[in-house]
Amino acid sequence: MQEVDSVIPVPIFKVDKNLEILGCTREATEWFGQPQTLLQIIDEGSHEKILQMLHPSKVKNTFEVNIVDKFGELLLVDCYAGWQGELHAELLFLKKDPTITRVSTSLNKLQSRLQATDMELLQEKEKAEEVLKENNRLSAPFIEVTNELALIPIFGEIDTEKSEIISELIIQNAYDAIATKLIIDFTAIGRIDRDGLKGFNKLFRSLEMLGKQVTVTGVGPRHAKTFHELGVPMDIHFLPSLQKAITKLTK
Amino acid sequence: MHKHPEKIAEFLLAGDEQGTITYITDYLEANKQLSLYEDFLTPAMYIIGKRWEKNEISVADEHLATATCDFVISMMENHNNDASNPLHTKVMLFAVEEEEHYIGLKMAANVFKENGWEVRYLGPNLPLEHAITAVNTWQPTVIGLSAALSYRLPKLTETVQRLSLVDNKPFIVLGGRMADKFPIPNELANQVFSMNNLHALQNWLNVMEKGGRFIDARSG
Ligand code: B12
Repeated sequence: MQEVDSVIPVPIFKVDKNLEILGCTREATEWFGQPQTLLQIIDEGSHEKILQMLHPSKVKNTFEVNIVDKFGELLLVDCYAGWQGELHAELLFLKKDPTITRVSTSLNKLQSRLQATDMELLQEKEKAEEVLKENNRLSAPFIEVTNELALIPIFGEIDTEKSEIISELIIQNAYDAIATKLIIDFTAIGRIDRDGLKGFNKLFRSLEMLGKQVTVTGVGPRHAKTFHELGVPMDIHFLPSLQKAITKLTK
Repeated sequence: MHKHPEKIAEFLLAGDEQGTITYITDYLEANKQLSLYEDFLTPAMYIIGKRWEKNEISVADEHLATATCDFVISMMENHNNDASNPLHTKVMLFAVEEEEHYIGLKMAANVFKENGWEVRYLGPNLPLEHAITAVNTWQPTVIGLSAALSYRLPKLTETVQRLSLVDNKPFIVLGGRMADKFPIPNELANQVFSMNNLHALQNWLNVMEKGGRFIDARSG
């Protein structure tokens, strides 16, 4: 292969009309080694393009093309090509203007930052939901006092949703436990709305169906009234204080 | 009314996301997500690829078109979706290391969403070790992979090999230009599936679900 003489330090190739390489500059060898044909250093996705663009009928042409250097690195470059008659073409490759590369790298970075932020938000949300779930779980611990007796103190503010979650949990625990006497203690409930109380009423019925004997303690006068209006199941006992209930049931 | 992907390609190349959305608004409203992707956006992106081959546009234009296309897909993401997910199925999607083409992957993520799946879209260029950690912690039912560049085939092979071995034995679905080129080893034929479009994905989901192949993710 002949060395193409040029004072401009860029890779230049001289090819015939079959794209066999006739010669190149030193810079070309440094980039690409010793390829026989031009297609060897062109990415396969660009073959069609270079065959179209590097055609004698085009005389002079400029286009983008993807090349593969001697390390196998894929690179987008600008190609400047011209024909000397029908037989020889000369073409040179120029790396893309670094600003474009910079912009495209930044675009990718921005994109992945957005991605990461999205993912973090999602994880935060999941964490928050986890905390909430844990919080709900801790709002109704199931304490097995003796083989027969379990105590379930309810904590915090109770709305419809929370009363549902708590109910589900209590039923599961009651089902798994051998204790048949349950004390549900309302002393530590901050606030509870009518729907919340309704939820508990449903819970009482379900527990009865599981064969549990339910005693409710710590219900204030206002909630007692609401319970009364809702029609509490017959077999549910109400006792004013937890202490009384424990004494009575462990007797 | 008949819509043309050529026209959409023009809107995308102009960076005109509003124009794109207006043009396809019937599809957006009717929530025809699959059709929107398969009949319009994907062909539009392929047209853009062809126009680059014809030297009519540059890679810089492709960048702008991609960002615009991404915008439209992101809109679909938040479109009303009330599919239930009784089996708590989960999918994690990403493109292998040094693979930046993500448009198809993102579409696939939305198809899973539309089917009620819990979706973790980790985006392009995800290092394999990160992926393995994420899969082990999150235990997805399915892993979705995408690769467009032929040079990524070795990495894709390695990724599939490693991920097929993690404890919960997730299904692996492959998409992108390289999906067809990927030889699925015989012993993985029940675990790894390749598909070159989203109708195929939707069919696969239907068949697998009917066949009871997705068991409740919570019971392991
Ligand atoms: C847009 C584009 C870009 C954009 C990418 C934007 C982005 N972040 O996604 C930019 C400009 C950044 C880009 C960069 C490059 N690109 Co490019 N790019 C394209 C182009 C024109 C369109 C790709 C696209 O968005 N298609 C639309 C999507 C929807 O189609 P799809 O991926 O096939 O997806 C469908 C299915 O495969 C399936 N699917 C896809 N993923 C998944 C996943 C799952 C789980 C499932 C189930 C299904 C599924 O569903 C989709 C809908 O049917 C293609 C041309 C082409 N014909 O593909 C070239 C092309 C892929 N790029 C190419 C090249 C070479 C590059 C670069 C190396 C150089 C360059 N041009 O700058 C870099 C490489 C970056 C990197 N490291 O990855 C070559 C690849 C050649 C090869 N040897 O493989 C192509 C073929 C162009 C060409 N003829 O030369 N590119």
